Formats: sequence, structure tokens, C-alpha cells
Amino acid sequence: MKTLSGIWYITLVLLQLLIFFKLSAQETPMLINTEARLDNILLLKMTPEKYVEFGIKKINENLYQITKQPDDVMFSVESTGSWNLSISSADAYFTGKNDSTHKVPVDFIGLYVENTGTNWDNGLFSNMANATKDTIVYLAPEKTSLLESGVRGNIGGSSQNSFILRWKFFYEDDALKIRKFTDFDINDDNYRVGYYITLSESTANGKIDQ
Amino acid sequence: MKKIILLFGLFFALQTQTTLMAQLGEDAENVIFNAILNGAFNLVVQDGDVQTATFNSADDYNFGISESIGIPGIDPGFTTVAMEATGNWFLKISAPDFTPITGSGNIPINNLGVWCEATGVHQFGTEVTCAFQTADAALGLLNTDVTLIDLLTENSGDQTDNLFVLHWLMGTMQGGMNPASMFSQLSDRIFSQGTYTTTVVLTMTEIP
Repeated sequence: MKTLSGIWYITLVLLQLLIFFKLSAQETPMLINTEARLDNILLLKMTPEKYVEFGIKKINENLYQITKQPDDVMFSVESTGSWNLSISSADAYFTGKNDSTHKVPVDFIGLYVENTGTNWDNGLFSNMANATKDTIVYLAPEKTSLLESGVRGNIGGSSQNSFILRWKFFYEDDALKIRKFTDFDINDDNYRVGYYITLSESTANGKIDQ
Repeated sequence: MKKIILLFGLFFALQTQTTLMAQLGEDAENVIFNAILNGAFNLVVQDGDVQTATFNSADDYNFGISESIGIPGIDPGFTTVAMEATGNWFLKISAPDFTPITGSGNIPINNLGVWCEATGVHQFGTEVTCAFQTADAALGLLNTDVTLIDLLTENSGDQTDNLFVLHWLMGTMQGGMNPASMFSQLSDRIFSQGTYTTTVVLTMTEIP
């Protein structure tokens, strides 16, 4: 009886194994190795004509008319790392287009940067610090820092880092500038000066100027 | 005595005849030939088992890359697979997130997309089905298995029957892929610039 029970047991196990192998589907896996290389980019997108131009006409000793307003400049930064941005003029003076002896110091015009991207420019604890957030800075031959990476970093493309550079005559707001303004003998002309915008990577690996 | 000799003579004559008859007769033996046709399921990657996706321009980060988008984009950008099967089957796909070789964070695997093209005898809509037949309907890969090619009527056959091209996309935000651009994800610090790797697993499964 015991032998019979053993035979039944073995038969049952074999039957179960048979059912298991019959029902379990065969699987054949295959592997595909994929590598993603995210290279470093640092790109400034703006119009190639990098100069600021305005026209002025003398009405009388104390009154001048601006005949041509300087154009705003839209630009964006696309970078895989955090970055800083500064501006400098190519010359210390605006030069008259009609008469190159006509000169006006470049600090005759100021500027500020308006942020239109999604990266915040509310200070060093946000994505970036905007030096012109609540003020206007002079245009000068020396580099003037405009935007600096904050704690949260300002990595991103055009939708994150999009800006408008707006020019502003200082005399419009500051009474002192009126006196300074009247110190110049400004001739009727259209004045122009070139400028550089410098975009720098702000990582610990060093700066790469573009 | 004569009778005895006659009897012996008769006996020998009968024996000789019997012997001769036996030599002229036929015998037959059977050879049993067993042909056992076991189930065979074989998945073959004919080419494109190593893919390299390179992001090196703003457009790459903004709009993504493929075999035809970006320079160099994804190289080669496609994988040709074939199935040899004595029975019906379906194909699953999955992959873990990209992990960094250099850089930090992981690239979510749904930034990698795939769509299929049937180049063999078996076509989508007749023998097999695939829900991801164009780039716009691409599958964004998941960590868990998703059926890429399924049985419709009958798909057993050799490599000429079951031949498919898998087209790869990365960061293009199409179909079921990650809707955020690579730049946006970089900006959100989900991952950083660097080199990342993953292994896509294709699994062909027999349908019992």
C-alpha cells in the first residue's frame, strides 16, 4: 500500500511539472544599450547688429529733442550650465553718424534688463540676480555685470532665459543729469556706439567667455 | 530396408524444398522515426543594438533628437529586430531610467521614445498589431513592460515574416513621451549635463 502511495505521489509531481512547462510561455529577452551624451552648450541669441543709436536735435540752450529713440534689444540665453552676463561699450563716446567729430560720452545713456523668461531674477537666492532689477546702470567701456547666476541656477533654454535690453536716457529721471546734460555741447546728429554683451559660464570648472 | 531408404529419401527431399522456400521468402522490420517539432522562439537583433544619443545644440535640447533630427542626433537611431517562432508571440519593451556615467541625477526613461515599422511579410493590421506606428504616436518607455507588438491573427514564421524596425527618439516630447523639453528638465535640475546610460530590454513571449 505504501509503495502504491509513493507511485501516485511521483506521478502527481510529474503531472504538475508537465502542466507547468506546458502552460508557462517561453520568453526570449534581448538587450539594447543606449547612451545619452548631454554636451555642454552656452549660447547667446540676439540680433547681430550690436550697437545703440539715438538721434538728437537742439531746440534751444536748455531744450533738446530726441529725434530717434534707441531700439530695445531682445535676447535669450541657452545654456546647460549656470551663467553670468555683462555689458560694455566698444568706445567711451557715441560718435555722430553725419560728423564723426561729434561726440557724446557713453554714460549719456543708461540701460536695464527686463526678464521675460520663466527663470526668476529676484536675487541671488532665486535663479539669478538682476543688477538692473530696481535701478538703471550706465553704459561704460568697462564690463558692467547685468545678470548673475543665483542659488537655484539659471540653466535653461530660451523659454527660461529670455530678456529685453531697454535703453534709457538718464536725464529723464534724474535732475542732476539735466545739469550734466547741459554741460555738453551736443550737436544735431544721430549718434552710435557699439557694445559687447559677454556671456560667461559660472561653474567651478572655470569660465568660458563667448 | 527399401521402405526405410524411401522414407529417408522423402524426408530429405521435403527438407530441401522447405530450405529453398525459406531463402526465397521476405522479411520486414520497422524503423520508427520520431520527428519532434518542439516550440522554437528566437528574437534576433539584426542591427542597432547600441544606440548613442548626442545633445550638442540648443535645438537638440529644445526639440529633441532622432536618426533624422539633430547632428549627429541618435546614431544609428533605429534597431532592426526579427522573430523566428513556431507559434504565436508578442513583444514587450521596458528600460530603467538613464543613470549617469558623468553628471548627476537620472534622466527619466520616458524621454526615450520608440515607434515601429513592419518590413517583413507580417504587417500591422493583418497578422500583428502595434499602437505606435508613427513618431507622433511614439511610445514613451516605462520602467515596466509595455506591449510593443501584439498578435492579431497568426504571427508564427521566420525572419522574413517577422521583420520590424524600431525607430528611436529622445527628448522630442511626441506621443506618450515626457512632455517637458530636455532644457526644461535641466533647468529643473532633474539631471545635469553629462553622459548617461540605460539598457532597453525587448522580450519576446510565446502565446501558449
